[in-house]
Amino acid sequence: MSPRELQGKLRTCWYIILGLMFVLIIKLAYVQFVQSDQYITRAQKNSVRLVNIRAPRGEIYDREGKILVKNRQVYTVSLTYLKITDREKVTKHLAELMNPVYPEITPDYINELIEEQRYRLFEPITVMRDVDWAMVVKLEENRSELPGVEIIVEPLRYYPENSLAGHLLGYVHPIYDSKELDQYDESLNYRIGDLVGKDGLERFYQDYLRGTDGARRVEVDARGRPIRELVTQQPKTGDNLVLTLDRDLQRVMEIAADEVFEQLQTKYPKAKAGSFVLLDVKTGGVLALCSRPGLDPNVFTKNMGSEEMTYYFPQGNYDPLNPGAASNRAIKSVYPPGSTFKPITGMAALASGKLDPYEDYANCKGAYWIAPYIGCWGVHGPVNYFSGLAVSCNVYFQEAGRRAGSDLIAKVAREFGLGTKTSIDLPYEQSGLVPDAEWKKEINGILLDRRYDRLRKELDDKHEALIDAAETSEARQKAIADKEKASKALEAQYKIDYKFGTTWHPYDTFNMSIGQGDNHYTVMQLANFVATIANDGKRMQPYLVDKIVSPSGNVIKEFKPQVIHEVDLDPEILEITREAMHSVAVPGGTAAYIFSKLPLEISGGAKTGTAQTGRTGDNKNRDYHGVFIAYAPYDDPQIAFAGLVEYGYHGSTSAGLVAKAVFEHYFGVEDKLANDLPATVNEEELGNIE
Amino acid sequence: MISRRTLKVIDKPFLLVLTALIVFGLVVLTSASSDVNPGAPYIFLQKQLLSLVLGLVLIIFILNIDYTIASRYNRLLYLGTNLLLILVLVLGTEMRGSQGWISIGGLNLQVAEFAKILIILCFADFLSKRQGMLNTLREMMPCFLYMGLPFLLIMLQPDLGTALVFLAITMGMMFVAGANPKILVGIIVGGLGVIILALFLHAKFGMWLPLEEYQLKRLTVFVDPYNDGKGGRGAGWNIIQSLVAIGSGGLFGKGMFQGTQAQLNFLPEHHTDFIFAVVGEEFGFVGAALLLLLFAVLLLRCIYIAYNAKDFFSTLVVMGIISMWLFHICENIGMSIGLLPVTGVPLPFISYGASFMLANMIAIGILISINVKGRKIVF
Repeated sequence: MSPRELQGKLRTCWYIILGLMFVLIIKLAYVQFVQSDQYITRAQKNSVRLVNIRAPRGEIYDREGKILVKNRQVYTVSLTYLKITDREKVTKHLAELMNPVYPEITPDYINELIEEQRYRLFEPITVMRDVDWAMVVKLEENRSELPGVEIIVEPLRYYPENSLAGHLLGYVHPIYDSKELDQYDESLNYRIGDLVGKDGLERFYQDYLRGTDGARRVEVDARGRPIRELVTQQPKTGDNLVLTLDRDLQRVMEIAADEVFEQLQTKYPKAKAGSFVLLDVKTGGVLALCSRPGLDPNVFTKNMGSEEMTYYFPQGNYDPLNPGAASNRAIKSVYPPGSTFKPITGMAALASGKLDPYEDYANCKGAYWIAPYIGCWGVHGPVNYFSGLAVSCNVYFQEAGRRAGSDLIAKVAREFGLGTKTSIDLPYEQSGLVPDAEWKKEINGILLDRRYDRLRKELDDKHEALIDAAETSEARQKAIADKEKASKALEAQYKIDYKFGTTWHPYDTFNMSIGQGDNHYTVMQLANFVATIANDGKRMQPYLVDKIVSPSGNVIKEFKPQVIHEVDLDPEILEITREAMHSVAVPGGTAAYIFSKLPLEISGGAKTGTAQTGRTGDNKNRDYHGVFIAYAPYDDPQIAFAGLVEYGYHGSTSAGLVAKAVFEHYFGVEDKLANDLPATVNEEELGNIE
Repeated sequence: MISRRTLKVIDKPFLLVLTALIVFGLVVLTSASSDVNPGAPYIFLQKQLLSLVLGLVLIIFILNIDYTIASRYNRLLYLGTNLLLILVLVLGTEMRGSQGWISIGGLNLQVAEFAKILIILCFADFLSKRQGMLNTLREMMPCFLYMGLPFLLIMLQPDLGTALVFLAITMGMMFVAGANPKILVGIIVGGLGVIILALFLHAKFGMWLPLEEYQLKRLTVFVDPYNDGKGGRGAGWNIIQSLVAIGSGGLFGKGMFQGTQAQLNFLPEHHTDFIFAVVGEEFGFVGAALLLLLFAVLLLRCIYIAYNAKDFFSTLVVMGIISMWLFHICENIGMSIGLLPVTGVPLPFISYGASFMLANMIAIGILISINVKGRKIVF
């Protein structure tokens, strides 16, 4: 090969080398300049992790600053996965130590926890929150055999009064899954496993109470091992709530309620549930609120046992003997108000101008004189508004309702906030229902159409089969004619049923007048209704939180009493009604016993109720809810009460007794907290009961 | 030892660039290997330095013998090398998925690395005797058979990367030896075509290929590293992490010991096969480009040495070494920046590895020998 030829070949090599280097450097520049930002982000995401530091939730106080909810420093057993040198041995040993006390902790359970957190192994894995000191000691003694097991001190929600006001305080529980996570504000960075308020004030004021979690920025290596801490941001404690609630009154209410239930159950085994509300008439502030069966929020911060699960969340059909304790019945359950609705009927009749409260008498002979002759629970003879309400005469109020007309009754009911949510600061409130002609037409129209659609289809199917089965053309003709005939008959029946079912009948008005039929209200609505009568027609916004205060003591938000509606009725009507309700509370009235210990100058007004439950399977003659509404004092009302005991039968012997205890405590007549003796109820002593 | 003449005649730019590369390599390795064995952060640097010293001894040894001796014992050398490659298949220990290692007194040696140099010497002699007789495929056939044997033996280890180096050496040396360039290009293009077709047939119709599934995956995943069946956590992981490392380095890099990708172990093999990513991450584009420049100058100086070699045999030997290094450099950097499939080919003078360093030092020794014995006019 000539040197020239060689030179040519080597020159080619020269260019190949330069060419390849050029390609490499171009791609290199592309990666390091054009794509640099994207890769810088990737590299940081790779190596920097945020470890959460849980912020303590805000505390909750009663109106006088007595603590209701706080945080407790608890010992939590956790695993720092990457310090575990021998995973199998450690999980087995840990489970062995903890299993005798916490049976759910098994090696499989721990491995499952690790598996669930496999992409966040730099964060401690919570094995068990709130272990007792004995367990801490036990684990510490075995420290050398438990590499990676750590006992962390962390804040946990604590309700020092246990079940006191449990329903209204609500409870916290970890967010289960991503579906639930979607319900929370994304900008607040909620994560699965975060403890959040699930009900009550904990839920309603979640965003205030939660505080701001702190964070540690940690650099980790490829296996998620923390290498060093970069920055730490301290957590910010949540804001505190100061309530309108009075802890002592609340306690009195709950003690009284428990006594009442205990006593009632000897006679009425189904009497297990109910709720009671005490409002400040002038402000609408809730002074006490209780729902039964009781709820202990402390139970919800841990894993629940199956027994507790059944107690709080029973499965299947409603069983009065195990009614479920999780629900706050004061706002989530709606009931027929029974006779406590009668003041509404009365006020509507007065407003119509067709009833004179003093002069117009109805003669009660035990049943109303217009069909369907709905009976009265007694024979009262001639009664007017005052005596009629005092003895809760069904005849009088059917007549009053007839004169007022259902539209006016419904209107007055709505004036007092019945059938609409009170918008109290609690979640999941029910709205209840004021029945009227329009509603009846709509709901029954739908139900009837549904029923007849089914009947039409059945008819079609049956006759089509017959037509198909016909062998001769004559038989076929006959079958077709039969079908037409049957179809016509069905349509005629539909017209009759439709007209009947969707029309508001006089007996609908009668039923409504005495608080039965389709009337359904929450106890909170009833309380607000009494309070509005007592407050001269000024309907206040019921509320629980007086102010929100930052941990350093600054008031962040203050809730002032708020008039949400002024009842569109002559003030005289309200005064007359208060007087009529007063006649219920004095001797001769159905609630006289309730006020018997109060000084005469205090007294008050009330209305008892015995409501048909309307529940399928209940005995119509025996299963009644006991309802009670009241206010006091009579002259210048300060507090209003509403209560209902499911299957409590009488208003005065069930919910009324709770009112009695609360009123007596409020007016300083009897300190139930000092001599906490069960009240004995002698029915004879009660005198005139409904 | 080293004669004064040698020092005088030696190609100074070559020596300078080589020294710079070695120093650069040691600096990068210090940072790249610092976290691999936390108990002894400098163990890799120490071992690499030891290899270097050993390599210097070898260079001096080579300078004091006549490298053309290889030409004389050509057959013996060729047979011996292939025997060694067979031996390693039988007796070798398996490391990193390849049967190519032999342990001698605690020192693990990769036989194929040395085989490369030995075969270059043999093949240079083989080709130099066939000058002007490489015009047809028929005439070229013996060359392919000659190189095919060691190629196959290394494929059997299996060590695809090193086997491919043999291919590059064959092509480079034959081109300069005067083989018909059209046929060479045809073979390269045709070979690539066959491989792509085979991969396609395999993927579509499950045609049998002499490779394990994981090896195939490793070869093809560079096209789309996130599509490795595990969302980038499987076979694509190394490429992704390498790109993240290099890309996040930007213009000036994060500084020595500051590269999170390497230091926190997101990037596997960052002191061996993926060391270029550490250069990119910690020294940025400036560092990486400088390294490329050093390599380019080194290779171009080698072309100069090849041109001035005293005989055709020597020219071919230099060409073999150039081909070998060029392939190593392009393949190693190419896979680090996502241009080429991942085959375990280290980066000369930078990657950690005793056998590789020693083999390269032997190559340097031969290069210097050729250089100082070249046609250059000496004053």
